[in-house]
Amino acid sequence: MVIASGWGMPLKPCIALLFVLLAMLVPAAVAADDDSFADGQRWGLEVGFGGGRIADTAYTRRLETFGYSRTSPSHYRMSMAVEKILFPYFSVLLQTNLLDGQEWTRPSGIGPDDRFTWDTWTLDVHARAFLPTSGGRFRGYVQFGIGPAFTPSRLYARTSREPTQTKYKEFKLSYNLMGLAGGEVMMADHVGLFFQGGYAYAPSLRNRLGDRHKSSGGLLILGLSGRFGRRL
Amino acid sequence: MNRLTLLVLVPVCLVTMGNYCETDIIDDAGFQFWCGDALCTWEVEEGAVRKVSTWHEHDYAVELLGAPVVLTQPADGSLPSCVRIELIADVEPSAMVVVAIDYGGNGTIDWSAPIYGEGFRSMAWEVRPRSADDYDSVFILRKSNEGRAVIAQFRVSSECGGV
Repeated sequence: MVIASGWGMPLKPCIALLFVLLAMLVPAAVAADDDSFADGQRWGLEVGFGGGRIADTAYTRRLETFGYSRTSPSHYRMSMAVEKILFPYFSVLLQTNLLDGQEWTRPSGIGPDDRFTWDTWTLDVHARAFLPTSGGRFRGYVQFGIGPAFTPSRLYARTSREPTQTKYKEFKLSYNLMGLAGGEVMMADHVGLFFQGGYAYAPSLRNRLGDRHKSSGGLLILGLSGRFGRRL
Repeated sequence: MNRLTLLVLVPVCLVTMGNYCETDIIDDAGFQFWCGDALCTWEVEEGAVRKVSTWHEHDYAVELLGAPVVLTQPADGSLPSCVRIELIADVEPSAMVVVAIDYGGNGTIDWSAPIYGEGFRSMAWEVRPRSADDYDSVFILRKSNEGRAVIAQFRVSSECGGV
């Protein structure tokens, strides 16, 4: 499977590109005969990349209070999903998303800087309702998902006069809710292009002072899909 | 060390030493080095202290217990023409905590400033030492009254640039 990438693309050009693609492909889809999406192939694989934004939280403001500054703001997102169409116009997905990934550093004075990093991944079950155009080459959909969110974090700090740092790892398990809307157009019998955008709510890290981080925010994903399996 | 010297030294330092630069005058600014229950680098001249965690279980601070408490560390070499002191602390005003400098280490407090602010606040000062007294200087944290006093960072550097 080829991976289409919107990695690092600003959101506005990304949206414009999607509309151009839709304008080119939807008329052809409407003109066809069969109205089951992708000839009724039941299984799908989706891989996408895109961008998003996470607002500052009490947690990140507390890091600033303790002298840290953000060195790696997380703007890119990644998504992978397996879909099974259960009925016409309805499917379920097992979907994983990279929601957050940040790096903060603090001058330690003598020696290497203190560093704190984390990533938040989700593993959700999504329910998707979709509506194909006549001919089945394009469909629009909305979906809602829920599942656990995994946030491993790492703190690198000196604990002695030696210039080496000690790494402290922690793991936070929480939950996330996600709502997405999007579209998918079949470029060939088994390969399609999809786009989706929405919002994820994912409370993740909590510090010892009670401040909570939310790896929540809007996201926009562009990617490729593969369709296969027995027809409906 | 004037600003022009710093402008030259800092880039040279960055290139020759890696991704950090040693402009700090005292060590263990974050109270991270503990030898058992005692601080490895700081000297507890009077009273008692203990290790506490701050925002992270392994990001430590020092709590000044009871009163009086005096914590000191001599400067590493002579002082530059400008010294920047950065503090992060959670201190009840009633604890009456001050940061002080003893130029020359002769036992006389030559400069001091009160520390206050509950819930971990950051504070900064820029001090211009007297050039004749800048050897063997000592940086001091002094707590005079009962009350909560937790110091998470006491950084002293030559990175002056306006407070």
